[in-house]
This record gives sequence, structure tokens and C-alpha cells, in this order.
Amino acid sequence: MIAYTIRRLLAAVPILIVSSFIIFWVASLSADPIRQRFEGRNPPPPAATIQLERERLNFDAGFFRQYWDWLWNLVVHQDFGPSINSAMNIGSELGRRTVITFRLVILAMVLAVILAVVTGVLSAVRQYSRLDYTFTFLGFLFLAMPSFWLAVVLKQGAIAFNDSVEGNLNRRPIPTINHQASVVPEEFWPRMMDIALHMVLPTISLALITYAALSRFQRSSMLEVLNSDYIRLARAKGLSARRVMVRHALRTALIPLTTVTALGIAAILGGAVVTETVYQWRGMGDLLVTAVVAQDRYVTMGWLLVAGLFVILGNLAADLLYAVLDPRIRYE
Amino acid sequence: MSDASTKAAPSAEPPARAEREFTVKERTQFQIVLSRFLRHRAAVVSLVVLLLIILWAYLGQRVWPRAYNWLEGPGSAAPSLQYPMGTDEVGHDYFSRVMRGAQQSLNVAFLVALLSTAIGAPYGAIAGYFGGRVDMVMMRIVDVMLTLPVIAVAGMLTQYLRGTWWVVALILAGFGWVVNARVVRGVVLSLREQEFIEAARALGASDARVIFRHLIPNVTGVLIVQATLDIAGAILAEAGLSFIGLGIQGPDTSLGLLTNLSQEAVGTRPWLFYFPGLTIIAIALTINFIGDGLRDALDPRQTRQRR
Amino acid sequence: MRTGTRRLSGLIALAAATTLAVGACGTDGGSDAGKPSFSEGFAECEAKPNECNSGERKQGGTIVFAVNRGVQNWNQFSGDGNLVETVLILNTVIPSPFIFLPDGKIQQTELITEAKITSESPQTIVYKINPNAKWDDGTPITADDFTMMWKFQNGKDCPKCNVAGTTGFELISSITGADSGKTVTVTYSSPYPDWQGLFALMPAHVGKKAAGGDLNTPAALEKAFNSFTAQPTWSGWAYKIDKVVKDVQVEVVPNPQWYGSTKPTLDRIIFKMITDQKQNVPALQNKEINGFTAQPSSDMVTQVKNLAPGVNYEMTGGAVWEHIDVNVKNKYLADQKLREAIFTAISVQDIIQKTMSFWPGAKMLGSHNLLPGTPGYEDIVKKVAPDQGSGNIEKAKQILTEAGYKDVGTALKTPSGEAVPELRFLYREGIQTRLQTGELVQAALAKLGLKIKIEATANLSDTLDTYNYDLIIFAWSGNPLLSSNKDLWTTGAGNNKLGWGDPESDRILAEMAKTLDSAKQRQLLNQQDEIMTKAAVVLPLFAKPNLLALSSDYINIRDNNQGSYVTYNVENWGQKKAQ
Repeated sequence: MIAYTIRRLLAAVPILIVSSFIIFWVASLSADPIRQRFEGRNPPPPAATIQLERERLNFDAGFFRQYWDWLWNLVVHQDFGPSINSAMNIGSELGRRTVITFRLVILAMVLAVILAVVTGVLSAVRQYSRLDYTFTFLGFLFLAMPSFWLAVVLKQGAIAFNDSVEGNLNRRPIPTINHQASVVPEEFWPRMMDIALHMVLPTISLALITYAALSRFQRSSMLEVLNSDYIRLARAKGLSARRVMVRHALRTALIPLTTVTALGIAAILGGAVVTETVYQWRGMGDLLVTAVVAQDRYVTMGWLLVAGLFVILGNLAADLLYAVLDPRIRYE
Repeated sequence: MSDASTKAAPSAEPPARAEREFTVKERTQFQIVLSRFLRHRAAVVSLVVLLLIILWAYLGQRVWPRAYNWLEGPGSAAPSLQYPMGTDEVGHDYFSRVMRGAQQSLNVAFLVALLSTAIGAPYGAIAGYFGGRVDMVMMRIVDVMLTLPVIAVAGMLTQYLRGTWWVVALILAGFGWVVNARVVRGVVLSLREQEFIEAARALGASDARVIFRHLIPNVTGVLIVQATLDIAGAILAEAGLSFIGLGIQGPDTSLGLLTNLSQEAVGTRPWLFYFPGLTIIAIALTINFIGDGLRDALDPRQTRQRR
Repeated sequence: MRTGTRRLSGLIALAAATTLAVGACGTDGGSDAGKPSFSEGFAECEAKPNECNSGERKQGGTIVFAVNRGVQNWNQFSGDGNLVETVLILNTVIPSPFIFLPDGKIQQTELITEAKITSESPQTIVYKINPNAKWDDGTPITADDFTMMWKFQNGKDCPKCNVAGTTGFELISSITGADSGKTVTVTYSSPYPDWQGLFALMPAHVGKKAAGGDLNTPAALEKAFNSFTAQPTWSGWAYKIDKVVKDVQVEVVPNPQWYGSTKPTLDRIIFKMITDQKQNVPALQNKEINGFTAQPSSDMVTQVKNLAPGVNYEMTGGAVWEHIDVNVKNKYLADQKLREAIFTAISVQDIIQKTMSFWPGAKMLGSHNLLPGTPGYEDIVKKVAPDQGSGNIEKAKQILTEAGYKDVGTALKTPSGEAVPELRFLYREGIQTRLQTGELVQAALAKLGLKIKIEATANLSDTLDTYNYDLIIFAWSGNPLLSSNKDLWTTGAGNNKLGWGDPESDRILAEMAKTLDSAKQRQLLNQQDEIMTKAAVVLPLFAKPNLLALSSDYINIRDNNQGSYVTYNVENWGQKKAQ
């Protein structure tokens, strides 16, 4: 297992190099970002400026040379390369944004997992009951909703709520944008409160959608386990339903859930694009969209390295958990 | 009985015939699965609804008097008898547009599911079966795919995305097959340790035969369920791409594009937002229920009865 | 006058795939653009665009104003720093000798006490800097600051400065200071009518320090120029930058060394970045922002209207104008009659009604050079080619039949019998209204027997440069500084994307670019316009409107589409005094 883990970790390096190369190649097929940025200015920028920009972004070097320069800079100088925005330090930007997204993702994931486990267990235990149907329907409903739908609806709800309590509380508790207020409170507890309130809407949005995906998994794996022989044996032995559920069924059924969670965290890191845009959180998803729209290739490549690393680690964790928890699986 | 025999003319048929009152017919797996599926009420209803939606989306356009790109209607009219889903600001008949949008979204979704399964299943089966080095390399390629952000690739290839739904489908499938591969690989990993595989190998079956004759048929259940999830996922993925402006482009239309463009109209011209949005939800919901029903029907260990 | 803004008024709407077109420079609607639309609080703005929403301010208060993009590069004179949002924010700290008012007039600011043209040839301007004008560390504003800005942007002294533009500065031959730098004499080598747009200033003493002592070498200038990329720690205007949360907000507080007569009353202005325009109204509703400007859509306008009376709004015609260009290099479109017929068949009023339904009364733009409400504007299209943009299908068919075209209305053929092939209509992807316009054009031209294929392009400049289109729709930013129009229409000029040119038009434009008299300039532009309009190469559609939504608590804030943006009078902003 250790050998396997080490091999997987070492494999992360060539994987990221290949991915970044692919993105680099795809980026080179796309529009010229400098032309795009200066497009249509009247009067047009001087040729000297365009040439300076091209030099700064290393566009005049050959295809492979550009990639090699980027890689070299990264490894030797820990420099992620130049962005279209000459003032951006890609490395620190990535760092800052990862923290912001993590804040959002971790909490949403925790909420989603709790919801999923609870409803999944209840659903499976009372299969085909009205409770089951309701939970199933809700799970599917959230699964079927485009994410911005939910966000838009939640926002309107929050505004209506704020409108109704504004008279009594003399403030509007639930904010709809950013991760902190325009004027951040000085003292500790009000500041914590402010941060917490700003997390309400985006976390609910993200959690509901994630929960939906997880709940399907949980229910189906619970069902599979509940129908298996060893559970039947446990019940035949006379164990109480609760004991059967908690000590035997649940543990086994949680296996696929843990792996899905590990995969999920990695996936959401880059996938919370919609949530971040609607709630104006300056996280990784927001960065990716901005970079792609501006055809900013080095930012995209840097983004890929960070998000890609999380995906790889998440996958590795998922595979390891799967093997550890299910002794039938063997890795050579 | 005795009365009948005394009254009836003597017959030449042997009395052995009276031994059996009924015949027994063996049920094929398909029939078993079908009967189990039919017991899942939600799935059956969903199937019907989905079929209706599909009919409406594909055939409705032939029947409906106004094409999706006809634009002589009144601007921003609320739903009425003449315009069941109202019109948009340019005067398009929205009913027609939603139909067309549904068709394009379904096109994308079906193609994505088809391609993802066709590529992902054999890939995953091979990786899971051979294990070792082969599995290692194949899964690392999967890792590469997983690290590539769909949005970035789609965003940088926008000029090649010019309005055609199958290019969007290609891109989504190009990323989607990975999930199918992982799922199949997972199942194969546990299957290959089982006795029937050992038996097949002991009998001298080649690897190809084991994979295609023994493993893949046992994976069908999972595959089908995953395919339904792929379809639902593709519809939502296309809507997600539209949110950033990268899905199907105008002048053609898709459900994702329609919902996205009318985001601001939620409070002011709600018909523009809700009709395509609810259609997306309806399609995704029904497909998920069907998948659920199939999963229940295909699971051999399912013993509980439906109430 | 904020120079950056002059160049910025050159920024085009088409570039941004994100919706906020360059803050839309331009005028408020005059009678010709269609009535602008106002809510109660801004009702005066039509008649008195420079003074509406004014009143007494109370001391104190904070305003949170939304902008569309974060500031990355604080040097608004550099290529990538030259963004609307950056200039809008830097208006609070950067002094300029002139600004544009909302109605298009140019006004001298308190940076200078006078600016006189002392000689017309060579053109020489003498500025007298306000003796109280100083940077916030006490250093007086002098000719040194003028000189530094000139050296940065003239294209010769600092070849490695990646400036956004050199127009105007490259024509200055020398700058001298006198009276301890408070008198500045600027001499031009050839006439430059838009001289008032130059010389938004940055502090020379800060630049010198960054460069290590002086600014005499290109290397030093380059170092100084690049140093201004960082967040300004200095200020020469009413506010100074206090705190920046990257990509989230920029906070400014009053500058204690402010030398102007109107003192700021607000304690703090927070410019908040909201990148997705659709989130503006909910944020306003939730009182997380107090105001924003944006390109309106019908839903946005309805939503803002619904917020009254707590929220006021003002919708004015901008300086960005949409138009449809024809590729005259296409052999079929080289025929003027076909072009005329095409323009006649297109109903601009229909397009306006359908894509801008939220602005009733909007009318077709009648000029290629001037904007409605600005001095000298004439509806040239109505004057010389009234059928263009009328949507008169019968007339269009008539033009074609008279010119010898066959099968008009079914499958158009040229007089020589060739079938006119399908024409490609291009638009920049992502902009819904342009797609809708394309669909309307397609439907209209189908009635003539012309087939149109609508295509989107991700790269507008490429498409334009390679003439890879038959019809194309995009927008130019009208410029209150008129000489840059020369670049648009002169044969072979940098921004001439038409492939069209006319020697008479060129001659007039060259003369216009040298005329110092603004009224004469406009006359010449109208003359040139007549030639262009008759040639039927560019069909002007309309000037895109700009919306300003503002909480009714705040006064002295009004939209300015003339290139100085809504913060043109930021020292005047305030909260309403309770009655």
C-alpha cells in the first residue's frame, strides 16, 4: 500500500506536466489575448506597446520554447509566469483564492455529507415509504436544478427575509455578495459573525446541490448493503434493528460515500464557478472564468496545477480509502 | 367431473393431460427486469413523461405552425392561447424556441451518454481486469483528464464551437467518459476476484473473451444506470456552460442558453425563465427516476417487495 | 481634463465579452437621440444635465458604489491599466486641467487658473497652475509633473514604456516651466485640436524617487513608469486611497491637502467590484451597494423602476454607437446600389424597438461622427439618404430593379445573371442584442431575396482585419475629442476597418484634424459624413444607453458618458441633508 501510494504521488508530476501542456497547446489554438484586449480602441495603442506586451508574455518565442520557459521559471524561481494583467502575481493570487474557495467548499461539503447520510439512511431503512419517496424526490429535484437557479431563488428569498426583519432588527442580516462586509467590524466576535453571515447563502447553495449528488450514492449503497447476506445473518441472529444499522450496515455503506466525498472536494474546488460568480466570492472558480474569458494562458495553467493537484490527491485518497475499507480490493 | 365424462363422447386423448392445469414458462432476464421496473411507480411515470417530452421536442416542431426562428410576434408578450409560452423581446414564439431548445439539449445529452459509455466502459473494464501496470497507466491518463478543467478547454475552443450541438457534445463526452471508466473499473475490480471469472480462466478463456463475454455483461446494470446519470448530467453541464457563454451558441438555441439569457427576467418576465428551466428540471428529474428504477430492477439482490 | 479619459473614451464596447461596455462615454440624450428616461429624483437631468440631482449635503456618510472590474494595474496610462474602472476610481486622486461635463462641454478645473493659446503656429499653450495645487505630501504641482507625463507618453523618450496611446503627446515639441514651475508652456510641432484632453498628472517627485534620482534617461523613465503600477500612496485631488481589498473593493477617504473650493463631505467612498452585472440590482435591493452604472437591459430597467422611491435612476445616451458595416471588398457588395438597397431594407426603428424596448423614444442615430446632444450634430442620414434604415422594403426592391437586378424578392440575381450568394453576417459572440439584430436583418433581407447566414466570432479584430465578413455589427466609442475620427475613415488608416476610402473624404478629414476651431471641426465632419453616408458603407444604428441607479439618499451624483465618468465631480458627492 505504501509503495502504491508513493508511486501514485510520483505519478502526479508527469500527470500535471502533461495536463499543463495540453492546456498550453489548446490555449495556443485560441485567440491572441493581446489583440483581444486592445480590440477596437480608438485610437489604437501604439505598435511599440503591443510589441512590449508580446515580449513580456513571451509570445514571440517558439511554441515549445514558451512552454519550456514557463516550466523552468516555475521549478527554478517558483514563478508562475506573466498574466495578461501586468500587475498580477499569479502565485500569490492562486494562494489567496484557494483559501477563499476552501472556506466555502469545506463547510458546504460537511453539511452535504451530514444531510446525505441522514436522509440516505432513513430512505433506505424505510424503502418505498412515503418518507423514502419524499427524500428521493427532493434529492433528485436538487440534482436536476441548474445551480444558478437555486442561487437566484435563494437570493430573492434572502432579500425578502431581510425586508421583513429590517424594521425590528434595524439591520439586514443576510448579505448576498462577497465574503465579508464593505466595512469590516473591528472587534473579534462581530467580525466572526459577519463572516458567518456571509457564508450562509453560498454554503446553502453549494451544500444542497452536493447533497443531492451524494444522497443518491448513499441510498443505493445502503440498499445494497441492507440486502446482503451478512446483514441478513445479523438480523437472523436476533440483533436489534438499530444495532444492525449502526454497527454493521452503516459502516459498510459509508465506504462509497467516503470515496465520493474525497472526489467531490477536489471537484468542487474548481467547480464552484457558478456559486462564486453569483455571490461574488473571489475564489478559484471566479479566477478561472476571468482567465478563460481573457484567454490568459499562464493563469489557466497555474490554476490547473493547483486544482489538478487537489484532484489527484482527492483521487488518491478515494482509492486508498476504498482499498482500506473494502478488503476485497487488492492493489498490486 | 364424473358427470362430464359419462356424458361426453369417448375421446382418444390420454388422461395424462389432466395432470397439469397450467404450464410454466421460463422468464428471461429481460422479463424479470421489466416486471421489476414496472413495479417502480415513479420510474414508470417518469418514463412516460420523458417519452412525451421527447415526442414533443422532436415532433412538435413539425406540427407547430411557427418555427423557432420566426420572429414576427409581439415583443415580450405573456403566455396566451396563441402563444402558449409567450414571446421574447424580438418576437420569437417562445413555445417553439423551448421545443427547439429541448431538442438540442437532448441531442447533446444522448450523444454525450452514448460516447461516454462507448469509450468509458471498455476502457474501465480493461483497466480493472488487467490491473497492475496497465491499470496504473490507464488510470493516470484518467487523472490527466480529470485535472483538465472543462471550462478552460471549452473556453479556449470557442471559435470551433460555432453553434453546433455535436461539438459541444464531443467536448462534454471528451471529459465525461472518465466517470464511466471509473465506475466500470470499480465494479470489474471486485468482479474479477469472483469464482466465475476464475472458472472461466481455468477453462482457458482468453482475456478478451473474459472481458467481453463475462465481465461486461455483468457490468451492464451499472452501465445503464450510469448512462442515465450521464444524460441528466450532460443536460445540466450544457446549461452550466451556457452560464459562462460557452454552450450552444445563437442563433440556434438550447435549454441552457434560454434559461441563462433570461436570468434577469425572473421577476419581470418570468415565463422566459421558468419554462425552459422547468423543462430542464423535468428532463433531469425523469431521467434520474428512470435510472433509479433501473438500478432497483437490475439489482439481483433486491428482495424486498414494493408496497 | 483627464487625459486617461480621452484615451478611454476611445475604448470600445465590443471588446468586453463581459457586458459592461466601456462606461459608455457620450452625452445625455438630446432631443435627437430619443428622450432619455429618468426617475423622479433625476427628473431635471434632461434639461440641466450638469446640475440635476443637486442639493445640500450633510457632513459625513459613506457610499458604496459598484464598478464592473477590479483594479490590477494602477497606472491608467499603461496599455493594460487603461480600463474604465481604473480611470473611474483614479478620478479621485489624479488631477487634470480639464474635464468633460455630462452635456459635452469642456470645463476647466481648479488645477489650473488659466490655459491660453498664445500662438496658433506653432501651437503653443500656456497653463497657469493653481498656486495652491499640491500633492498630498505638500510638494507643489509644477511643470515637472507635466514634463514627466509628456516624456512617458510621447513614444520617443521612453520606448519601453508600454503606454496606452501617444496621440497628442507625440506632437509636443517642448515643455518649459517658469515661476517656480507654476507656469507651463507647451509647444506643439503641428496643430492638435484636442489639446484639452491631455495632461492628467502623476507626481514627478514620486517617479524620480522610484527611478533613483532623476528622469533623464529612458531607463529611468521606464522604471518610474512601471513603479506607478503599484497602488498610489499619493494624491493630487479631493480624495486619497485608503485601503484596497484586492478584487473586492477600493476605499478612498478625503485628502486633507485638497486645494479645491468644494470640500468633500463624505467620510469614505467604497468602490465595490461586482463583475457579474446581473448581481447589481439584488445587491442594491439588499442595500449592500448604494449605486451602480451599467448597460441597461429591459429587465434591469424594470427591476430598478420597481425599487422606487428609494432608488433613483437615470438612463442616458452614451457615446458608444452601434453600426452595421459592409465589406466593400466583396465583389457583390462593391456595387453601391446593392448596398443602398440593403440599408433601405433594414428597419433600424424595428431593431431599436425590439432590442431596446426599455427605452421608448430611442431613435436611429443619424451621424457617423457626432453624437446627439453634442454641438454641431446633424441628422446626416435623414438629410442625404433618408431611405437608409427605414425598412422600406418596396423602396429597396425598387432600387434593385432599377439597377437591373433580377428575381428581386425571391432569389436575387445580379444584372449579369449571377445569383448573389449567401452573405455572412458576423457579430462578436456573447452579445445577445447583436445576435437579435442579426436575426432581424436576416428576416428583412430575406424579403429582397438575399440569404444571410449569421455567425459569431470570438475574435473581432481578426475578423475585421482579414475582412472575413460580408456584414458585421460592432460598436465604436464616439469621442468628444474629434480628431481621432480621422483614424476611422481615412483610407488605410489604423482603425479604418472598412476597406473603403474616398479621396475627398480624406482631404476633409486631414483638414479637420488640424483645425483648432471646434465649430469648424464639426462642420467639416458633417461634410465628410455626407460623402460617407451616400456611399452606404456604414449604417449607424443607435447610441447605446447607459443606466445609473442610485439610492435616493445621495446627491450630486450624475452620470457622465463623456469620458470623465460618473466620478467627474467626486468632490461634490454627498449624502442628502435631512430636511
